[in-house]
Amino acid sequence: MTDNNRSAISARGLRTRLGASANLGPLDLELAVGEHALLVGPSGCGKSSLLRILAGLLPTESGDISLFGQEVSRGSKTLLPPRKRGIGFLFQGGALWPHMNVAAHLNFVLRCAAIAPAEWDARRAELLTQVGLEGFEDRRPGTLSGGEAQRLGLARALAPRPRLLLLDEPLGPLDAERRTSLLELFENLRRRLDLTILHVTHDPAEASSMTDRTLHMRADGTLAGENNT
Amino acid sequence: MSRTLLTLSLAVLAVAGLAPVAVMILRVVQDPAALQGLLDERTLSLLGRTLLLGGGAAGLALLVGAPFGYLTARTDLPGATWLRSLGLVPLIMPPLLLAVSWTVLVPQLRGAPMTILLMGLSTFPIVALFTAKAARRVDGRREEAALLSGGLSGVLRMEFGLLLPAALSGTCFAFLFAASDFAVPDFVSSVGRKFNVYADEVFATWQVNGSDSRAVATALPLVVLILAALLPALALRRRGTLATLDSDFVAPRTLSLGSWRWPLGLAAWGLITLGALIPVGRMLFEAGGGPSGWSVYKFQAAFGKAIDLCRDNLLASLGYSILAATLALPVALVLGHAIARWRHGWFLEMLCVLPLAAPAILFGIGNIAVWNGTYTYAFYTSGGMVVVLYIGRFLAFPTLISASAVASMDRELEQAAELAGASPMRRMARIVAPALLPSLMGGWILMFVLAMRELDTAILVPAANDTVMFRMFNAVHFGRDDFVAALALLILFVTIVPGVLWRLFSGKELEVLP
Repeated sequence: MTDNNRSAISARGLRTRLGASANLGPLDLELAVGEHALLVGPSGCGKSSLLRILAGLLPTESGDISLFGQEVSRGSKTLLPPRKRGIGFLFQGGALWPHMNVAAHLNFVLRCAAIAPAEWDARRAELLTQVGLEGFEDRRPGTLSGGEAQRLGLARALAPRPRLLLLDEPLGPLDAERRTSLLELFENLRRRLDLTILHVTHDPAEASSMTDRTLHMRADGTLAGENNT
Repeated sequence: MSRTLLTLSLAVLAVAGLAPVAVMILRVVQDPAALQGLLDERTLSLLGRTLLLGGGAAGLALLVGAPFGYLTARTDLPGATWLRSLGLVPLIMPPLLLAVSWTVLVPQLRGAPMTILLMGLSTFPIVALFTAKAARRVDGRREEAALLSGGLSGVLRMEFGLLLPAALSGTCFAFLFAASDFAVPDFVSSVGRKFNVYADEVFATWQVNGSDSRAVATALPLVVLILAALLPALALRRRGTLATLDSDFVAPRTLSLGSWRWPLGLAAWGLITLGALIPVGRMLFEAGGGPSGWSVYKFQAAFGKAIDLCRDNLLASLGYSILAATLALPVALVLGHAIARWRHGWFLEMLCVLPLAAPAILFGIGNIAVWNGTYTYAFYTSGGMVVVLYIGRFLAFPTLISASAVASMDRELEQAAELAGASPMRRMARIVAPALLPSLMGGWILMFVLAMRELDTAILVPAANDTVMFRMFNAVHFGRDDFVAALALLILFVTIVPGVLWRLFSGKELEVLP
């Protein structure tokens, strides 16, 4: 097995422009399969942009990215589109579709993942049980609390059975009790589903007790170093 | 973005909207002699009158439209809900009908003052809509901070700078409608002192000389004028009404006007009386016999006659308008999405609004030049020609509405679907379109209304001579007053039906802003 085969994420020399005066990188990032890493840094340093780059939602100017041994982008060239990267993404604001109820959210993703309609009910029930949203099938995003909305976003991210889960400030709007509950859920899911998780936050204390490693990002968009926990 | 969808949409834009403009430009390039006399005294005089009409009407629209839009959207004005709906009537009503009503009521007022007044009344709802939209986007917390420090006047001072770009953008669109209108100056000038403007001149030049290149050359200063209004309109639109709402946006609360509530309410109702109630009331009066004695019998007879004689025209207009709006909608969604999401979307936006920069009369001549050929003659004389004409002329409006809606939509909604594996086409159909339904319906209804009330291009293109507005144009000049009034009311009724149905059954506000 090569190094790349043991890596969930391998990014080298990553660099991109984020605006008129902000840059990301250059930076190298390695994440082993099954690892849960926390990425912390001040607001606006490019943490969320890094997640988007890994997911293929933002282009890079230079650098290579491999996911689970497969090269997905080289320089500014995209080799594998976002939908084929096997990534689950929990967006900061939830990014839930306001016109769809909980069941429709999951059905949409299951259809996109080419899962046979006969299996949808069972898979949907399994996902809702995993995130603790049983009985919420008919509810629309506007009627969900902050924690419930994040759980729906998580169920949607998990629906196509990703190997890598990217969490963009997932605990931002929640109170302390719900934060702890959601963190425990992430950790349980990681163990049960054999997931690799990269978790972005601006609060270093947020999840450090449950992650394997904490990566620090500087205000200039480069990585400063790391702590093992 | 799906390349197939975008290519198809660009093809529709190119064929229906850009080809007539391009052919017209080509005619002038091939015949430079047509440009002689472009800046002679007569042309400059026309330019001055058109500027006076466009500027006067737009100024009037700003003066009354901006306060009307703000007051009805944000304050406890008496009957604000009704005023918001009735405020759309002058925009929905073909300007010619407004002209027919007011020239009878105030026959001594003709020429420039009447034309400016009519076009100002017809276009003030555009400024009101832009202002209202921007006013609803002010964050409630920001407004409360201003309210605490300076009361209502503090709120108005704080919001003035936020609302001004939107109001000015609406004013530029009002200028565009007023400066390129042909039917109202033509009708108002049919009796008494003449007030010829560019649109008249372009039509006359084309009719008398039969020369496309001369007509285009005559129109060039008007095109420059309209472009000069469109460019700031688009730039201001981005600053004014397009600002994306923050995810923690707090809707502003209704403001109390205090002792100003009733005086301002009376002023707003006065404006609606002038722009909607009096013209409609006058038509109801004329349809029932007018000065010779109003009766229900005469009223029914006038409507019976209007329906008997114009049923086919009404059905033809309905068919063309519904088809044009329906076919334009998916194209507008795709183009609007590209405008909002592409880094160089502004270029596509400019291409989309180019057909609007050409006066309607010139756009009609362009269509004749493109389609009146040996191989396309069968299409040129068919109803399909009218549908293509309307799509080409008005596609910019639903496109800009879509662009505005996409720009306000959280990009992550699409990215979430993309990561889930949804193809570009599925993302467009299942995520973008449903999330923007009020805007898409607004685009459909605006396109339908504009197509139903379109007259300038219909006068030129023979296939559009069976539309109800063309019939109306002839009736205004040669028909009986009761018949004209009944037909006008029928057109107005049919035109407002889709908007009323949406309001009744959806319970949602329409987004009808470009």
